[in-house]
Amino acid sequence: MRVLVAFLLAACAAWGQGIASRGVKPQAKPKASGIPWHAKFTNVAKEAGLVQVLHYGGEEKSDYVLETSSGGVAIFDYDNDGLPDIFLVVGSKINNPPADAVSRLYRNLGGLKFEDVTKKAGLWREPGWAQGVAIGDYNNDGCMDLFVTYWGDNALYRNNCDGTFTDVAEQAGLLPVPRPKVPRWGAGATFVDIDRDGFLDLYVSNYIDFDLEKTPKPGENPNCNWKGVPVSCGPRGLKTARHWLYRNRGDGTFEDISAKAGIARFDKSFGMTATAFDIDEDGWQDIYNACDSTPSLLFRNNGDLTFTEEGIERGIALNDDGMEQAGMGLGIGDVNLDGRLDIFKTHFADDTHVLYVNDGKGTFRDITLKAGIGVETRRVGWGTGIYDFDHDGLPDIFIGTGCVYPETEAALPAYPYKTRPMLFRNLGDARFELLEEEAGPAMLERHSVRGAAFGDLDNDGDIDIVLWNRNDTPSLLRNDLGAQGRNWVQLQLVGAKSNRAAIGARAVLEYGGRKQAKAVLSQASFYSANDPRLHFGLGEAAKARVTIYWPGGGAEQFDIEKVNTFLTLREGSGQAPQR
Amino acid sequence: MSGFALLLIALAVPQPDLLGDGQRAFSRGDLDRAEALFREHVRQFPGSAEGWSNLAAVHARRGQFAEAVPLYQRALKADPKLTQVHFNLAVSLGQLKRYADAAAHLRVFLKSYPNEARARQLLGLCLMESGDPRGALEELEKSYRLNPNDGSILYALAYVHARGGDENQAAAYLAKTESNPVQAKLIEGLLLYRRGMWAEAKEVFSEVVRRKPDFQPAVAALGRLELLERNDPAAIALLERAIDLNPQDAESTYQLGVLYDRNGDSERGKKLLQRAASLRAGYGDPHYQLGRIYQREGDLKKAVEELELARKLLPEQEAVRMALGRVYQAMGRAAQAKAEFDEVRRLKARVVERDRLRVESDTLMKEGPENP
Repeated sequence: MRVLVAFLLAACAAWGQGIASRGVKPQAKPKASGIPWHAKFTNVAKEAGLVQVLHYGGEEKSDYVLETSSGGVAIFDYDNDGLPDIFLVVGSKINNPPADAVSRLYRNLGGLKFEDVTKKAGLWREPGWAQGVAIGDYNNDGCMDLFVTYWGDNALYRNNCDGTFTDVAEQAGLLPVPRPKVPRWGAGATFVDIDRDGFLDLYVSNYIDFDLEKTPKPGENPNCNWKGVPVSCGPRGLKTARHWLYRNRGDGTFEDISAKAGIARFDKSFGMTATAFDIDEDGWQDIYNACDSTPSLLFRNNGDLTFTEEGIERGIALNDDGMEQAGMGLGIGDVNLDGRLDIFKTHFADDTHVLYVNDGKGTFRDITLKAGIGVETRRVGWGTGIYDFDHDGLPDIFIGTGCVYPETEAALPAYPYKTRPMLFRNLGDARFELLEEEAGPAMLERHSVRGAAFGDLDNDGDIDIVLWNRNDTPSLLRNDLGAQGRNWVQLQLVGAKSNRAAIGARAVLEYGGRKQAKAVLSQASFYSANDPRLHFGLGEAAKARVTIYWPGGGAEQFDIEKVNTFLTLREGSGQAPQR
Repeated sequence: MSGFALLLIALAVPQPDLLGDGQRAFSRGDLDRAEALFREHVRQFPGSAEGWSNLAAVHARRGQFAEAVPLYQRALKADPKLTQVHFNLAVSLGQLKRYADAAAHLRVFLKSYPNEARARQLLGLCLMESGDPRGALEELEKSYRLNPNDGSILYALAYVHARGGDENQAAAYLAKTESNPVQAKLIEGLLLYRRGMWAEAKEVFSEVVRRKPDFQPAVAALGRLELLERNDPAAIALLERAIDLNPQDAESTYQLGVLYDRNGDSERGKKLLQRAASLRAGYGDPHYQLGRIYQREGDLKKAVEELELARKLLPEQEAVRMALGRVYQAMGRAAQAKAEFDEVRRLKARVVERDRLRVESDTLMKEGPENP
C-alpha cells in the first residue's frame, strides 16, 4: 500500500493551465525608502476624448483563450505634426460583435485633446480579432506605417502621407496564399532591418495554432481550469505555433524567408510580444520574442540572413530556476546605468516578473529578487515600460495589470479581475521599490489592462501612459511631474543609410557621470509600440553626450548642450565617437 | 517495490552459491553484500538473466532506478522469456517518469499475467501520465475488479477520475476508502494540492493533523504548503516536527535544507541537503540544490560535481540540465554547455506536446467512441 501510494505521488505531474502560473509567493517587502516621489499620474482619458470601448470577447466569462489576450497600443506621430497620436486595437465577440468594434486612430489635437479619425484615415475595418501593433517606416517615405496582427489576416497599413492609410498586406506578400483553413494567430510583431540594407524587414510571432471548432470550452475538459475553476483552455494543451520572417525587397513587397533564415523550425512555443535591437552589440539586429509557458526565443542575427536561437544560452529564455514563465510584456531599458540594454518581462499571477541585466557580452542574468521586483505576485502583468518617470536620472518600471479570466474572481477573491497598475521606482544600483498611491490617483484605479504604450503625449517633457483596458475605455495617465529642478531630453532619430525611422537604433547617453542606453523599438511593452522619440531623465545634469549606434551599421556622437528640449539627430550629421 | 523485487528473486535459478547467497543478503537488507555477490555472478556468467535482473533489483531497492533500467534490459536480452522482468523494469521506468516505456513493458507482462491487479494499476497510472486517461480508467477498473479489497487501487481510481473530469466518481471512490479515513483524507488533500487549491488542501491537512497530531505525512504536507506559500517560519517549524516524527523522511529533510538556505543559513542547509541525499539513494533534488548553492558561492568545481550527480539521477529534469549548462558555461566548457542547453530545449518541447496530447485525449474521452 505505502509503496503504491508513493508511486502514485511520484506519478502526479505538476499541471499548469492557462497562461503559466508557477505558484510563487511574494518576497518580503522592505521598509519604504521615504524618498519623495514627484511624478503623479492622473487618468484623463475621458476629457481627452478616448471614449471608445475596447471590445474584446466576453465580459462576464470567456469561452476561448482567443477572447482573453490582446491589447496593442501605439503612440506615434502619423501626420508628422509634432504631436504624438494614438492607435488602439479593438477586437470582437464570439457572437454578435458590436458594429463599433473597430481599432481606433486618435489624432492628437494638442493640449491632450484627441479626435477619433479612424474613418477619415481609412482604417475602418470589419470587426475582427486584432492583437498587436508594430510601427515602422517600411518604405522610407518619412511617414510611419502600422502593422497590425490578427487571429485572421494581418494588416499592413501603409501611411499615404496625406493623413490616410491603405491596407497593403496582400499585395505586399504578407498574407498566406491560399488562406489556411484555420486562421493564423498573429501575435507579436516587429519591424527590423536584418540585413542592414536600410529597409525594414518584418518578424511576426504566432501564439497558438488555434482552431476555434476543436478547442474545448471551459468545463468541457478537466484540464481547462485555473485553481480548480473552469476557464478557457490554453495555451498549454493547445497546439504551439511557428513564427515568420519576411524580407523587405525594397519595392513595397516582402519575401517569406522564415525557413531559410532558421526561424520556421522553432515551432514549439506560444509567441507573444516581439522586439528587435542589437542585443549582443555585434552590429546586427537580433529578435527577442517573449513566449507564454514556453522558453522565450532569442534569434541572434548571424549577419548572413540567418539566425541562431540562443535564448537559453544567453539567459533570457527562462527564469533563474530554469522555468519557463508566462512571457507577455517586454520592457527594454538600462536599469543599472551601464550603457547596456536590459530586459524586463511580465508574467502571470503567482509568479514574479523577471528582470534580466545585460552583462555587456550579450548574456543576461536574472536579478529579479535582488532588485526587489518579487514583492508582488498576485497581479498578472502585461504592458510594461522602463522609463524615468520622475527625471531623477534613474529609469523606473511601470506594469499594467489585470487577471486573464473575468469569471474566476467570485471563486478566487484573492485574484480579482481588475487590478491596480504597479510602478517600481529605481533607487539606484538596480534596486527597486514598489510605489502605490504615492504615484497619483491613477495608480489606485482598477482595470483589466493588456497593452500599454509610453510617450510624451502633451510634449511637456515627461512620459505619459496609455493603457488598453479590456472591454472598457482606455486610460490616459497624464504625468504631472513639473520641473522639480530636474532636466530631461528627448531625441528623435532620423536614419539616412539606415531605415528612416531609425528602428533598432541604440543610443547611449552620458550625463552627470551616468551612462544610460535606450533603443528605438518597433514593438515592446505588450503587443504595443511606444513613442519612438527617446526620452531621458537627466537629474540635475545640464548637458550630455550621446552615441548613436545606427541599425545600418556605424556609430556617431552628438554633444547635447541644451536640455529640456526635443532634438532631432540625423544619421550622418554627428561626429565619430570619441573614447 | 520491494514486493516485486522479491518476487523476482524467488524466481531465480540457483547458481553455485553466489545467487543463493545474494538472495539471502538481499532478504536481510544487506544490499552491498547482495550487490557484490550478484556482480561476481554476472562476471562469471555474463549470460545469466537472473544475475542481471537480481543486480538490477538491488539498485531498484536503493532507489537507483537509472542504474536499474539498463541492468533489467540486459536481463531481458539474455532471456527474453523472463516475463517478470518486464514488470520490474516498468516499475523502474515509472519512477524515472518514462511512463510510455513503462506502459509498453507492463503490456508485455500482462499478456502472460492478465490477472495481476497491481500491474494493471500501474499501467493505468502510466497511461494517465502519458496522456491516455480513457485507457487509464479501463485498466484501473479492471484492476479494481481483480482486487476490490486493495484500497490503493481506489485511491488511484479517485485520482484519475479527479484528473479525468468525473468529480462525482472521484468522490465515490474516495468514500469507499472508509477503512482508513485518515489516509483517505490525506489523499483528498493531496488531490486538492495537485489541483492548485492550496487553501482547501491546507484545511484538509490541518483536519488530519487535528484528528491525528502525530500523523507525520500530514504534518510534512502542511509544512510543504507553508513552504510554497513562503510562510517560512511556519514551514520550518512544521518540517522540523515532521523530521522529529520520522528522522528518515528524506523529502522533509530536503525541504528543510532548502528553507534553511533560503533564510540565510546555508551551512545548515547544506548539511541537511547532504543528509537528505544519504537518506534516499537516487534522490536527485538535494544534489541539484547543493549544486545551485555551490554555484552561487562560486565553487564551480563542487557545483559541477553535485549537478552531474543530479543529472545522472534526474536526466529529464530541465532545471538540472539548465543549471549544469550554466556552470559549464561559466567554466568555459562551451560544448558541454551547449549539449545541456539543447537537452533543455528538447525536454521543454516534450512537456508542451505531452500537455497537448493530454487535452486531446481527454476531449476524445468526453466525446466517447461514437464520435471520435
